Amino acid sequence: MSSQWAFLAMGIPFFTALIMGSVGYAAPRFMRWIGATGITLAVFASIGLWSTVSTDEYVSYFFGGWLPPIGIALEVDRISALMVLMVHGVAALAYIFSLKALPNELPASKHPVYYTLYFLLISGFVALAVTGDVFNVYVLFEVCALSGYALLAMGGKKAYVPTFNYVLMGSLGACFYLIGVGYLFIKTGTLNMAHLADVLPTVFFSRSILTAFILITVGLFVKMALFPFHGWMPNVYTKAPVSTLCLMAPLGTKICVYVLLRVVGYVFSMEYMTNILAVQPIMMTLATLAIVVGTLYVVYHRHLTRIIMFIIVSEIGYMVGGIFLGQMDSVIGAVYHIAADALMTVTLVMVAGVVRHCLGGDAIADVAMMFRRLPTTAIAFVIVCLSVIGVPPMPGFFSKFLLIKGAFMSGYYGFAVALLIASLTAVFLFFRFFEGYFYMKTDNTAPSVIQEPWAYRIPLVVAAIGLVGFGLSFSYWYGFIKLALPLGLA
Amino acid sequence: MLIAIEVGLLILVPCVAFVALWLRDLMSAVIVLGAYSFLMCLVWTGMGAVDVAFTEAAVGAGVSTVFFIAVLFNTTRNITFNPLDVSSKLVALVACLGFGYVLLQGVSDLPDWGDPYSPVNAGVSTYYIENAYADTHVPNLVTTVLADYRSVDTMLETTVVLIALLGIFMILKKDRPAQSDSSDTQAHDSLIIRLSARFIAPFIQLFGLYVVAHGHHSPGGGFQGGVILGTGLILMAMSMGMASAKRLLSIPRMIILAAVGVLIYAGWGAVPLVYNGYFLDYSVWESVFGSMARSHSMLIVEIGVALTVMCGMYGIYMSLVSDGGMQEGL
Repeated sequence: MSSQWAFLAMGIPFFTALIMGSVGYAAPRFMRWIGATGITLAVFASIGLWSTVSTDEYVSYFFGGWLPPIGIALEVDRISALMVLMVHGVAALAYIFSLKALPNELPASKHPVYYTLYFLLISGFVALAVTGDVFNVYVLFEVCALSGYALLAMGGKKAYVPTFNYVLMGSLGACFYLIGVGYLFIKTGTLNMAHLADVLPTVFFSRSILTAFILITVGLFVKMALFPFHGWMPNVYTKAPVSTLCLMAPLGTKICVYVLLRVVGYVFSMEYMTNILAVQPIMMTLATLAIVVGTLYVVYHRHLTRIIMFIIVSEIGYMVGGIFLGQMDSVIGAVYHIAADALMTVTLVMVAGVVRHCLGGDAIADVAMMFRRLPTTAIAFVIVCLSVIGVPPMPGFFSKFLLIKGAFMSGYYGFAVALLIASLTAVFLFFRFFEGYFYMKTDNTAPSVIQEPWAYRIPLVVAAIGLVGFGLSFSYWYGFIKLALPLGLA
Repeated sequence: MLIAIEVGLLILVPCVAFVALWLRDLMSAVIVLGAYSFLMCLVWTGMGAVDVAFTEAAVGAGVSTVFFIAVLFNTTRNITFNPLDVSSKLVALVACLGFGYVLLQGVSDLPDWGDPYSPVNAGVSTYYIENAYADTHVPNLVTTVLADYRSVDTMLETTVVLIALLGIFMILKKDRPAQSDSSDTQAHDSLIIRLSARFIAPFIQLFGLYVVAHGHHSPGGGFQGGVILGTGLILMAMSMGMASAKRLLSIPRMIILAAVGVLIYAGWGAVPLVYNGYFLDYSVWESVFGSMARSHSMLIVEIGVALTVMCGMYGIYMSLVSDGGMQEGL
């Protein structure tokens, strides 16, 4: 039964976490091997799911054997399969990275609990990508959020207050989402996404459904840190330990964007969003503002980690804008960008982590020093910079191209201009780092080259190669995503 | 008559909530919140949701009050804030009013309360009511929906309890506990408390076991039973000192047991995978248990839930009250 892959993709990290929790205290030596086995199997499961979906297009999995809407189902189409691939790929890189990074940041007595939560977080992200039930999404938000809070708070005393803010904001977002789902359930009597999509058109003009739409989208905006709800994100992420950040920063916000696409595109349908509610102008303004504000902060800050956080803020704007543009190309661009941005963010965060650990800081001067002392990291950094700017063979170029095309087709020129400005700013920003290198005062005691440990080098090299590969295989992914688009687009 | 009670509750609940916000002394506010939870219990009972009421009583009024007190014990019971800081309050006021307006707008269009033809009552609920007993041989509908039809949600919620335990434990854990030689002295302050706690605790535990085992037939189940079992342990820890509580259930063992609880649930659900069935499809056990396969499976997963919740409540209390040092408590 090939649909078993859908469960295995979320089940393998889940069981890995439980086994880690059960034996971690008794035998901490085995943790590393359990984790390595778990993440390898999980990557295999995601590849299995991907190949199944490539031939069958669609996989359904019914928990307990109960057909929806009675039970809970996993519904995997090609977009979800891409998301699963993304989560497991990034998680595998982050796990290898954390093997070396974590001992620097956390006493060994906390490692068993840390990795248990780490794998529960991974399984939560994967499950969010495959679930077909709106209430299940809420439960998974809880799983991800709670384990995320604990992992982020491991940055020590300075991380507590920002994490507490995140706890408040995250709970608020989840609460909004839950109330919205409550309204949907009262009006329709079902929680299954596909069934909801069938029933909702009969009650499209109800005020409760409008309220539900507002609450769910606002809740998701808070969770994904879209401007003006982004306040919690940069602080908590810059104070967190790098090993947590490698997992949270690329996936935490992206997966919420994916849930937004599911809810808006598939449950409420594009038609409801564009024609009945006509919220498109508001949403596009928000997305454009997010890009502009994120870009302004990027110029303002002078520490690499903080700059990355505001790059994320503006990239969230790209994806939300792409979804709400409602054009075929823009939605494909948004989905492609979710995966591309996860890869870019994880590479950037790893670079920042290596610089912080090996050179002792991540200010512009330290990053400039990286070009001299950490050659492998520097190459990865240059490759990811090209992608963030949007230079042709890199994935960042293709997604931006599709988004700008979509913006011109539906007449939101401001969004297109914001995208171009963001690209130009990225050029400016990264040249600031390069400039720091070329004009660095060279005293003759040239600092020696540091060899990165293997646990840093392998994920960096793989991520850089992966980025180039993901960009070069763009035409394959375009066709792959196109077949799973919501109705009324393809 | 009933409507009078409902209206009375509707007035009381917001009043109590406002009082809890109004009080400057946090300890009193916590007690008022406990009263708030009990009122909410009555509201749920009035709506016929007895299982929810039971949970609210056990978790909302019971254990979370204890947790709040444990936190206050290590922090402070007084709050200070700047009375001149009006702007943040104004923002909060506007946000709350806006949110309330949106919610009320949504309510205006909902079906009548108790309307038998509303989508909720005509949708999946009809299936549950008509077929649940035939499908599973469990009389308590709520248990069927929780532990069978929507079993994955319950498994993940149990995981959430495990995550909360692990998270709180990991954040508060001190690497080198502060050396204190007064490990057991604080426990002996009152003979009456110690003896009565020792007398009550077995009955609490017994009741907890009953709630777990009888969840199929009456309100209750793993969550409520686990909380009650956990309160029994908390009572022992409070009255006899943390050292003797740790002799009952040591900290590493507690974490392992909490993970094992979820593992029981998920492991039982994973058995069908061997027979190429769906995860949590209890019907593979029909060859062993016959028609009671689903019923017995539910009991087993509820035991897993109870184990995790019990260890979760106990562990969260121990971490909070000792500020992570696991040495001294209330």
